[in-house]
Amino acid sequence: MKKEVILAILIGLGMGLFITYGVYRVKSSIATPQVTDLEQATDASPTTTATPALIAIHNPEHGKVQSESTITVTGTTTENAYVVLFVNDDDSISTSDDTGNFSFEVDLEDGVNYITVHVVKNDGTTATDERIVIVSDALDTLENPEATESAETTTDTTVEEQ
Amino acid sequence: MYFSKDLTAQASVAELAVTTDELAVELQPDPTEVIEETTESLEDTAEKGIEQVKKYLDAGRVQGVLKNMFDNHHGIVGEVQRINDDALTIKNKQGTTILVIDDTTVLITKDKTAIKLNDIAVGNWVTLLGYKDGEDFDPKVVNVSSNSPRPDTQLVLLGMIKEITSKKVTILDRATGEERTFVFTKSSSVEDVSGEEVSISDFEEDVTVLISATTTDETEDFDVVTLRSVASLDDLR
Repeated sequence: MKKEVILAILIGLGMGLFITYGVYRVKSSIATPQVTDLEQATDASPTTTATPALIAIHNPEHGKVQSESTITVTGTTTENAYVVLFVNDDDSISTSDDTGNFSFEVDLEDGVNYITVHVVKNDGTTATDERIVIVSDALDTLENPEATESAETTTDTTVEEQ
Repeated sequence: MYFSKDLTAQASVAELAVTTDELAVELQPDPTEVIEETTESLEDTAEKGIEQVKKYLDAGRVQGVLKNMFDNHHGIVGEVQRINDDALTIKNKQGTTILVIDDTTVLITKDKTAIKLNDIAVGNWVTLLGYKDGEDFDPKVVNVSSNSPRPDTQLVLLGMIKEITSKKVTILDRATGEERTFVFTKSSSVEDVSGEEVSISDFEEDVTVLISATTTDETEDFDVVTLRSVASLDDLR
């Protein structure tokens, strides 16, 4: 009887030690990757200090169709960055303000206009975005042919008068 | 004695009450004046309001706002990939799109001449004008061209001049650390920091510049569109 009690105690102690060791191993395995992550973050920090240039064009929306031959292009990027805007092959240069906003008033050509905005940060990193604006009154003519005819007549009359 | 004092006090109180009443009457604003002041104030406010309304009801402004509110005009540009009896498959930067086109209701033109859908060839470029409703696009006009309307490939960079002649400039790209050579053309613009036109000879090595350039062939050197100093050339001298 006494032997059986001692044996039960020993088995209990053994199981307890086994479980404790298991818990210790699990804790260690969880803790180790955390240290590794931190080391990786520290190692990675020098390369992530340079944030890439960002750009968002607010106006115009892509695929805009208008009859007017000028447009205001507005957007946001990094503050005080160089902003180069191309309308097809012609460029204009400006800078974004202290809040990163930029604005250009540009002339458009009849037909398709590719408006491409390039921003260049002081560290030389760049970002680009593009919009297409089509200058055409074809849809207005379809919607209101009489007005267009009337306008054409007025123009013709003016020409004749000249 | 006490009785006499009390009477005097009562008389003083009565006088004071009368004086206070007179003062109250004097201090009380004249209703006519109040009405006039209120009317004037209301008139001012109304005038300002009318001015504001007039400003917003300016014909051009109203037309502009209404146009923006209801403007669903939309355009798509792309290269033709495939033509079916009633559809056009086009490709552009946004991806590939199949557009159903009924050439009995959609006006298709090439070089200002009306053509049929089947007259369009693979590789042609099309500009479709129509109406956008959410994600749906309803084309009404299709302009066909043999040539791409896309501008030349563009490049913009910030860097330091390593070498400059009347024909070429080599720049060390600040972002990549690589050297790139650009060719000056007749239409190249060479500018000081203010955008004022200067001569190529005003630039020298180690000057930091912003350059915009284009090319039709990316294997060749880009053509300079604008070379601009980022600091005053006078200060650098």
